[in-house]
Amino acid sequence: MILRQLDVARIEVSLRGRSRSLPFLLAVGAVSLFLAAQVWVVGIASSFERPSTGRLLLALDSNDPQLQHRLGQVYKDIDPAESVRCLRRATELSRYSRLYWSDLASACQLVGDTQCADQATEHLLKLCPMVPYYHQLAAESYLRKNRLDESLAQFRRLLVLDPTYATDAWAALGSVFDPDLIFQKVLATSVDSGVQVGYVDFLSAEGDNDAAYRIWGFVAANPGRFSLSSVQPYLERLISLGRIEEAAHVWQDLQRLAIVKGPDVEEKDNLVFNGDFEQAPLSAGFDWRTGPTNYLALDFAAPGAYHGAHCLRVDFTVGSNNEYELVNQIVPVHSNRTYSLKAYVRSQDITSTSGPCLRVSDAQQRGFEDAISETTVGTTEWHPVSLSFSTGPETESVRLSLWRPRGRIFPMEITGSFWLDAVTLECKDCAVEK
Amino acid sequence: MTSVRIAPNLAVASVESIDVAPRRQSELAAEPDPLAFSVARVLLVAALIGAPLAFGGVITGAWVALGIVASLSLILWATGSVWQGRLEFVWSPLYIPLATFLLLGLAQYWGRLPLDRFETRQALVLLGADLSFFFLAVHLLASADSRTWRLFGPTVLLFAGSLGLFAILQIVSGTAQIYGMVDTPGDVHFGPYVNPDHFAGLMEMLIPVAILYIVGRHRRSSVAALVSLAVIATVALDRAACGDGHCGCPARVER
Repeated sequence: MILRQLDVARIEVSLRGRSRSLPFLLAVGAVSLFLAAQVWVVGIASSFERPSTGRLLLALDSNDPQLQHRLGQVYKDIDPAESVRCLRRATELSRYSRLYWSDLASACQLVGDTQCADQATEHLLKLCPMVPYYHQLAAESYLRKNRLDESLAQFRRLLVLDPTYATDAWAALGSVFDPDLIFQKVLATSVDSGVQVGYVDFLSAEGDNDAAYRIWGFVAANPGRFSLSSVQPYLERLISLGRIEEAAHVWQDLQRLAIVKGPDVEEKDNLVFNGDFEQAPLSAGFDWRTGPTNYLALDFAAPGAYHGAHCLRVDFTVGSNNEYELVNQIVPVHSNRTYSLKAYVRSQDITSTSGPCLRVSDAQQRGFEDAISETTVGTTEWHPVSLSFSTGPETESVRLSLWRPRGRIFPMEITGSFWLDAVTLECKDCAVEK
Repeated sequence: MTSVRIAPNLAVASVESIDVAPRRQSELAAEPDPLAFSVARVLLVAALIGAPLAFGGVITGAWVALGIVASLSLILWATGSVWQGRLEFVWSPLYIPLATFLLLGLAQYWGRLPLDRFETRQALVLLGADLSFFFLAVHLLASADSRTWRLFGPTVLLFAGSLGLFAILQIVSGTAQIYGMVDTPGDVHFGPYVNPDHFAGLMEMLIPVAILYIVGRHRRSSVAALVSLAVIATVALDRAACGDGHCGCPARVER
């Protein structure tokens, strides 16, 4: 029975004779014309471009808030004061439309009527307490009126609702408060750690690295979790600016907070991070980074390691005579010290006379001559390669890399496989000072 | 007054209307369609094809035009019925929820219950236009002859195929604007739609029709119906959280 009700059925009614056809035609015609007229009026009311059209329509229905709102928009560039008047009238006629209040706030702002703008914003907040943009408007409005506590509360709420507003919030707050106060009042308690790290990066990007590092100290002391990707821009900036000591502290904090996994076995005095390749490289901070990999394949978890479970394997799959910096790592060091680098390598069918070797150079400026180890060619078993170097008076970090220079003697093109493991860098004369 | 039950499902019945309703076919053969019906059908199909091309009908000019076409088609349908000398009212159970929804909106509007009465009026007007399209689609296509049905399937297939191809070519070419000239907020458009979800919604409606047409030609409508339902169910589940892509009412979704 129920299924029968769901069927499509056809009912026929005779329309022969004017007594039946005329009322039917009139009824359908009236409905159609009413619909067409309504669509037309609503369409015009929401899209007219000239004030004269709006005025004409207002004569038909002066209490239509849509008309007043559209008129306010049309007058925006022609007559801002009239625009405010129309938009205010629209909000009076329809007190619950956030669109009207929002446009009124913007129009009032445009004519410099801050009181009107603030009232509209406050009303918007009551109507839509979950819309982040209105909290931003309210926060900036309170800031203008020097109602600082209310402004800070609104900014706090804004960042909780939508952290993508953070940059605008910090820019606005930065004109009134100092960075430490902003952190304490807005970020310290209620906002997640990712936003706090974003603030550190913001300060650093603005050039206030001292404040950024100070705030980083607070963030790192908090138990809140954040991702490496959120800290990475700040860390990279510190390294590129040569603020190696700060970068090293940030890196240590990341290891302490278990955001960066440190080595399972603490190798005393080894300055190379992840020198055994026991974990996947982060391509960030003081871990291994990969250079261009045209015509070769890198495997950071290759089996058959010299030490531990994994090692780095490089396959030169297509013969070419390019210069390669296969992998590299920035290592913090002391100035005017002597260091020794040691690693274990093996090779299989490396064709070129110029095979891979280890290279150490000053990461910031040429404080000392590049140190380069012996090259490895042909097929060899695991064997050590080493070099030593002395840092310059201003050296703070070195760039340790697995490097293959261009070949100059036939056969120049390199093919074959190469393995690297157990890379260690130790300071030779630091212990004496200790 | 007579009542004739024609099929459990209008879409399936329409593909096989020759088998399901032979009496109806013989009637149609004996009595040619009034011109008003044919014109109304052309207007209806033109509107339904034009709406997606006009950015899914989200711009004011497009939905105003749709409303006026709906009104004109209603008048043509009424005129055709008078010429024919009888009103063939096709009952669909979907009228019940649609009418309930419309009446609820009207009651709210007249009872001054909505928070924003004038936005409600606009929504009701557009809902009225959508309901008119639905009513017209049911009546004009149910009374269509087999030739119209033979044309309907390929038309939908061709339209869905060309629109899909256009959308793919547009995105592959890397054009940042719809039709190479209309900027969109966020630059996430797909095909003629500002919102790619709405394009998917349109395809969700067109693909089952195209499948039914293709499979129906081989007289395997039950398999076709199952495939179609599977497609609709799968895509509808996927689309559940993304909004409606109906070409007649996305103005409410987008604005």
